[in-house]
Amino acid sequence: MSKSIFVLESDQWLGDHYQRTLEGSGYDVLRSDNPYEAMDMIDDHSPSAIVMSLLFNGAGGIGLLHELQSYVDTAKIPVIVCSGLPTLKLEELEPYGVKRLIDSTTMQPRDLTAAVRSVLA
Amino acid sequence: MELEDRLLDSWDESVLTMAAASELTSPLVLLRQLGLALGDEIDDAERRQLAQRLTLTSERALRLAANVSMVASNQSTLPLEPINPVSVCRDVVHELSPLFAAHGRAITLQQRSRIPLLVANRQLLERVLLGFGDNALHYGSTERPIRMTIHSRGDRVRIGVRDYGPPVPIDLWERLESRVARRAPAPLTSRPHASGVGLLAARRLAELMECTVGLIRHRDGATFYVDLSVSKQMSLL
Repeated sequence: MSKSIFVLESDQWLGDHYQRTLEGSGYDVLRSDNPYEAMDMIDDHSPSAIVMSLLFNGAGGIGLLHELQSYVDTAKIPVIVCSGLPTLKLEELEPYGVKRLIDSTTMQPRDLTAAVRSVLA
Repeated sequence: MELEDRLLDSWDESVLTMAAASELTSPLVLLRQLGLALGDEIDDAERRQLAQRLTLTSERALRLAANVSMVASNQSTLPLEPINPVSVCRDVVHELSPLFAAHGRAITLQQRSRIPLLVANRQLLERVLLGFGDNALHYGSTERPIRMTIHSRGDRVRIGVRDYGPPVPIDLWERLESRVARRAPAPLTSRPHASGVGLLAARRLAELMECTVGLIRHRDGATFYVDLSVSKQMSLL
């Protein structure tokens, strides 16, 4: 049975691209463009990993990471953040359950699947 | 203009330019990913879709870059002339329609009465309305079409872009300016996706035509509008 990956990306077309890349590697993909809706979907579907960007309304992205850490089951889901923010460091995000940080300005499609594979290993 | 005012103006514009450079990261990331995807083994339909998205994304990014560039160069010498607002709005709706359609959205023009000519610079007005349209696409919900409306009242014509989405804060402009000045990475508004740099650029372009830009908050969305003066030219004939 293939593992499901939850993709949270505000840009519809970038989300489509992530979905296509992950489905091409054999993963099932769930999608949302909204952190508030995302929490409900993650609760309902318990994905194996989460791929997300951080820039949403208000503290949306970070707020979701906080929320995920608040529950025993969702805190265990590995998170991969794709971001173009040049100042962002993985060490700053690790307390929020983030296992990988991908620089979206230089990433290759294989970087995404490699990151997912590594957090699921 | 006093030195202090000039310094303040140039600071504002450089801050806006820097914010725009940051904002352009998002479409550039998308363009790069779409370009990489074109190199994969994909069928013709998918290739056509990727090519269309590349084109539309680059056009949107270019619109923002051009608007900020115009603001930064402070092109206040662009001539004001009598123009037909309906024709301008039709052109804007025509230009934005492919982008909206590719997102499964629609934009329509609604005009309630005969609209007089107004005084504006056509190029600047188009850019202001394109900025409103881009904003509405990325902030509005998908269920209802975006409506561009034209009303005339007395010696003023109001062109608005009505979207249906999350509410906007009452002090939106102040928040946007503060956010851009602080180079904050996340939007302060209750609407996701973009920082509002495009809206600020549109407002500055409207100011170059000595027009007023405003916002009406609705329970289910917002209308961004520009108020323009009716041309007196016809009354002189």
